[in-house]
Amino acid sequence: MAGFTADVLLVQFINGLFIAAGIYLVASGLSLVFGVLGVLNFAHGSFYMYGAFFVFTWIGFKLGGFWPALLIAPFAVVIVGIATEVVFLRPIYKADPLYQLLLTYGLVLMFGDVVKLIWGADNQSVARPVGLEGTFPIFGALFPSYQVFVLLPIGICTMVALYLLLNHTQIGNVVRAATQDREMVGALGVNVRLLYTGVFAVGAFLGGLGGAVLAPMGALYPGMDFDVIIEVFLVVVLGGLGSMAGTALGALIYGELKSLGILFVPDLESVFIYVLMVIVLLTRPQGLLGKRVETSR
Amino acid sequence: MANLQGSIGEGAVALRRAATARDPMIWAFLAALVLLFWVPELILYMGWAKFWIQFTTQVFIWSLFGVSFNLLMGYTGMISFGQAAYLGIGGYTAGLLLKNIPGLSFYLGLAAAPVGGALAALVIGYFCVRRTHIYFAILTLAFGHIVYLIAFKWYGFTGGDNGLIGIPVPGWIAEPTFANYYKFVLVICVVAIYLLWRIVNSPFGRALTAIRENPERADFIGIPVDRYRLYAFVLVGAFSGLAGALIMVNDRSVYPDLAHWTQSTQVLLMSLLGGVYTFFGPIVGALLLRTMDADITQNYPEIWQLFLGGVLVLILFGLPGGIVGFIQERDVGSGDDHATRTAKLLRQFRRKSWMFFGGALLFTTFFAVLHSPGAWLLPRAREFVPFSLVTWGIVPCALLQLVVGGSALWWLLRRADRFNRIDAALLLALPVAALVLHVYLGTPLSGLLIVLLWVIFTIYSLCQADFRRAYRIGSPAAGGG
Amino acid sequence: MRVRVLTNILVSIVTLTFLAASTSAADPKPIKIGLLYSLSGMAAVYTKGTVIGHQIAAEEINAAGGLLGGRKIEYVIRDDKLKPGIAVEEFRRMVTRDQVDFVMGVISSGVALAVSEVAKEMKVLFVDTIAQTAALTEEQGHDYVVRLNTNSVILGRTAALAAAKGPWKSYYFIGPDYEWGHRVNADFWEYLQTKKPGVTKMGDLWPKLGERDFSAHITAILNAKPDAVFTSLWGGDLIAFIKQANAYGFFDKVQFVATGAGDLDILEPLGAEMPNGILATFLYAFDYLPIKQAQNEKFIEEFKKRAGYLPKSGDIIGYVSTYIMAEAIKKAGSTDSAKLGAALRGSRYETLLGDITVRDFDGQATFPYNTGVTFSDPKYPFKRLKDVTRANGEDVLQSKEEIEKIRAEFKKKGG
Repeated sequence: MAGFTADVLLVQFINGLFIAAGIYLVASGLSLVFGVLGVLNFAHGSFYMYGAFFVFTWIGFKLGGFWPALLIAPFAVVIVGIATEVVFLRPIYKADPLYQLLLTYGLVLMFGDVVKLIWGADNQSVARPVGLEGTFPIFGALFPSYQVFVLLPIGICTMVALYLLLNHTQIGNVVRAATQDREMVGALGVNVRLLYTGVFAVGAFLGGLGGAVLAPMGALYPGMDFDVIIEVFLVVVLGGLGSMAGTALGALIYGELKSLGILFVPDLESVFIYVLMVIVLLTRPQGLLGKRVETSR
Repeated sequence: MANLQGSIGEGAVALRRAATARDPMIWAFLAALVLLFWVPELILYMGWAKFWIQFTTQVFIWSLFGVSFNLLMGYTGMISFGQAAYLGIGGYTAGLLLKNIPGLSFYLGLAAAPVGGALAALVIGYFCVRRTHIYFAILTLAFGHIVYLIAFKWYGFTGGDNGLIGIPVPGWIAEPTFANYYKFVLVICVVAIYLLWRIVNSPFGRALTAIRENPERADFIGIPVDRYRLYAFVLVGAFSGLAGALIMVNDRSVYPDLAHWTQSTQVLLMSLLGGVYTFFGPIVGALLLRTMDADITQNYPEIWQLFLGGVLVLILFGLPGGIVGFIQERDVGSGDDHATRTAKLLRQFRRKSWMFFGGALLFTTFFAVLHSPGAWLLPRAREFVPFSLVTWGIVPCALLQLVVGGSALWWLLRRADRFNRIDAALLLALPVAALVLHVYLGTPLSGLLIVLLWVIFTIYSLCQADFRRAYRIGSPAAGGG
Repeated sequence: MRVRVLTNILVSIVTLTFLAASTSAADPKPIKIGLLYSLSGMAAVYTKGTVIGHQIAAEEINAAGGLLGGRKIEYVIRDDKLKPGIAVEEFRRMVTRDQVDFVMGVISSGVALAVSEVAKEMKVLFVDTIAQTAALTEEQGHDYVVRLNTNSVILGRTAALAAAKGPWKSYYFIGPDYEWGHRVNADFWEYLQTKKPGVTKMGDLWPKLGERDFSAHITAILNAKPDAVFTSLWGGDLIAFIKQANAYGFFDKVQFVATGAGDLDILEPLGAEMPNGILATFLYAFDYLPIKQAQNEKFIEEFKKRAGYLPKSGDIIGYVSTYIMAEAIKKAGSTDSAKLGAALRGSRYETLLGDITVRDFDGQATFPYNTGVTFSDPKYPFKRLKDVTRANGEDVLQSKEEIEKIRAEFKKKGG
């Protein structure tokens, strides 16, 4: 198996980009919400699952198929997200952040069974949009058109949009200020409640968008929330909790490690990422690009 | 020899002194041990004896795990999301030793489990204890998952995802009534929980509480914060390892699932449900969660997650102190005068009684819905007999309880400011009547447990010294409720 | 006296608590069968229909007068949550609380091995219906475990038989990273080498269970340019793999050999996205059945009425295994686990899936297993299979001597 040519590595590298784009879409929402609200949202995986299932349902309606669903599903998830924030999270912001984590865990359990009650326990599948079922050549190698024309562009657009939103707009300034010091922002007269709801809604949107974009690539089933949330945690913790750039970096490392790791040590592909995480956590507990963590004082 | 005898004598004296002078709780522990020890003999001829013995054994093990976990969560304020790792390590340590070393003493194998748990906790804790809050939670979760992955993937050593199957246990444990193992677990758990009790009430335990309340101040008054956190982490690792080994013996096998992070959330839930800031809370939590498991998750698998998640959310909102905390909580300021105290106490008693009433009604009605779905107004597939409440539909039955029980409670609580003994007896009679009613209606055990907790709450309240004083004297300030 | 009153109260409390539903005293004691399946979580897709299959069979048997002089079959259905620890607890609970005569079920291999160990200790028969790890009846086999389904050996070897007929020389492997996946891939590979000397293995990949993104695996395989790819992926993982591989033009470049891919739970959700020409194995396709067609059609009709979809392999196993057990109960004249186990073994049964034997030395049933090639059938919205060949369980399973050798080796290693 030894001795890979450059083009093999290149193919795997491009593949790694696809994986990274997919996981980044989901992880960015989690990271954003943690950065501003300080809530590590277990239920983010549920938003991803709902996004995918909403696409499935919309396609069943036969109203324009996949493309409108790509926009409608995330907005439907936003409604779920806002309801979650207002009803469940808002009353306990003052409590220990860990209680919020536990709360979102409770919500994961409930959301999961609701999916089963609505859509059943069966595997479902969403077909790729017409015209993108085939392959597209890059540097002589064939890649799936869907990944090339939908997944990767949406991933990059999301990254750029988040960057511009956070760094070059008034709202972004407030949000970034809130990641630094929440009390301070409130004292400056910003409506913190609204800010929190807004940020949580954006987080839910990103989760839903991730689910919608990834829906045609795999099977839809109850339990996909648990499968994805572990990966998302890995990426976010690796990059640094609350750091958007860190999340992008974490996603990239995750994708490339998985893609290139398969070539060299296929037996241990699922272990790699954990080994890397341990190394990072032991040397930089705040993650690669995270801000410094307070120790126990 | 004389020396040994001397030291035993000294030990006995010390023990007696500890028991009589300092810690009367040892009698409670001994009483619990003696009483519970003979339960199998009492129930062995009943139809479900083996099931109950099995069930209670599990409750004991989870109680040990929960109480030790609470030393970390409730007393030190460190919420670990990867505690199941030590459960797994304990189980695998004992399991691997017993399976791979033929002729190894069973007790020695078992004793290795807490050592294994403690060692793992020492290594992992070294990296984790300096972080706080969410970072501590994430680090423990990450390490816990790595332990799980090792167990899952390392076929040559741990048996991989199939686990270690068929670990040899002595014949007296494998006997078919399960009674011997019940007793074995009971003794170990009572002793271990008593040890934990002593630790919590030692200067070390108080230092841990100080760390929870305010790490800076604890540091300032000279408590080595990080070191004490590590000690606590290692101690809890040891007890968790012991619990893991007991689970391993119970199953005769050990699987990677034992170390999975969802197990960690189970013990978190137990502590929360019972009450994090109370020592015995996790035991109540373990009992409740295990019964709910037996009643709901097994019979209604489609909705058990919905139910579990709902319970978790409800606790976080409604009972942040857990059930034991809820019963014990007395929100009385130290500067209040007698009249205010009385008024406050009565107000709280009224509020909590209503909450228990509502909770019991909701919970038991929920079971009625599960038991006979669709039988909202009239029973299905059964004849309606006016005088037999069992044959009534869900809504009429619940309404009847609401109206009759509610008005009785209202009438009794209205008089609470000028109580006498008869009132107190009636107040106790009401939840007891509810309990009897639900036994008659065939409500599953966890429904009964909620009503039973109401009974316990009433007894507990009526026994409180200042409550007794309050109602004997009576106070106009408390009127108008 | 007092103690007696107290215990009477206790007993009645307990009885009332758990005996909400009253059974009339006139009927003879029912035959209680425990069904232990993962009814929640990711495996619920498969088990829901299996339970319906069990129920249809029991109702037919009960309507025909029951067994052993009018005793009716009654089920106690429990969820093992896909966790061995919980399954062990549930098994004991079914035996001690619900007093079942024997237990059927289990989808996960790990759960099956754990439950089998408890069955041995409690001396209660455990009839495995879905889990297929060969270890259960090979090295870990004992008197109280029987499997009424194919096992990983039948799966791997049947596929190998069909693959050996093809022209493909070099193989790549991909399978879920747990014991069963490794086992099926190994069974296939070992058997293929004996049937077609000179085949080469180019590598294997082990994505984790529940993998979402296979693109790296797909390109890694394509880079190696094998003639054929064998997989033991199943369920959602296999669906995701096929969908993603499709987009790489994977199936134009390599021959895909997939165990279980001919089952409806893969064909139906994939619909037109399932490529043509895949060599896929399956236990049961609803209408391809040369034997007992009338009974089969009756079953399909009844099943569709209840479940709303066509029966899959796991669903008919619920039905078939219940009938086998009914036969065995009749033969044993008792529901005692030891007698039942003995009656079950070494007998031949005529089932909807063909005639099978439950082998007396390991308790493994010899179900036939099929291989076909996928093609588009305009009559259905999903792909069907053509050129179906059938391998009999007797022909591919190991002989008694081989099983004994495996068991002896396992003992020597200290198992």
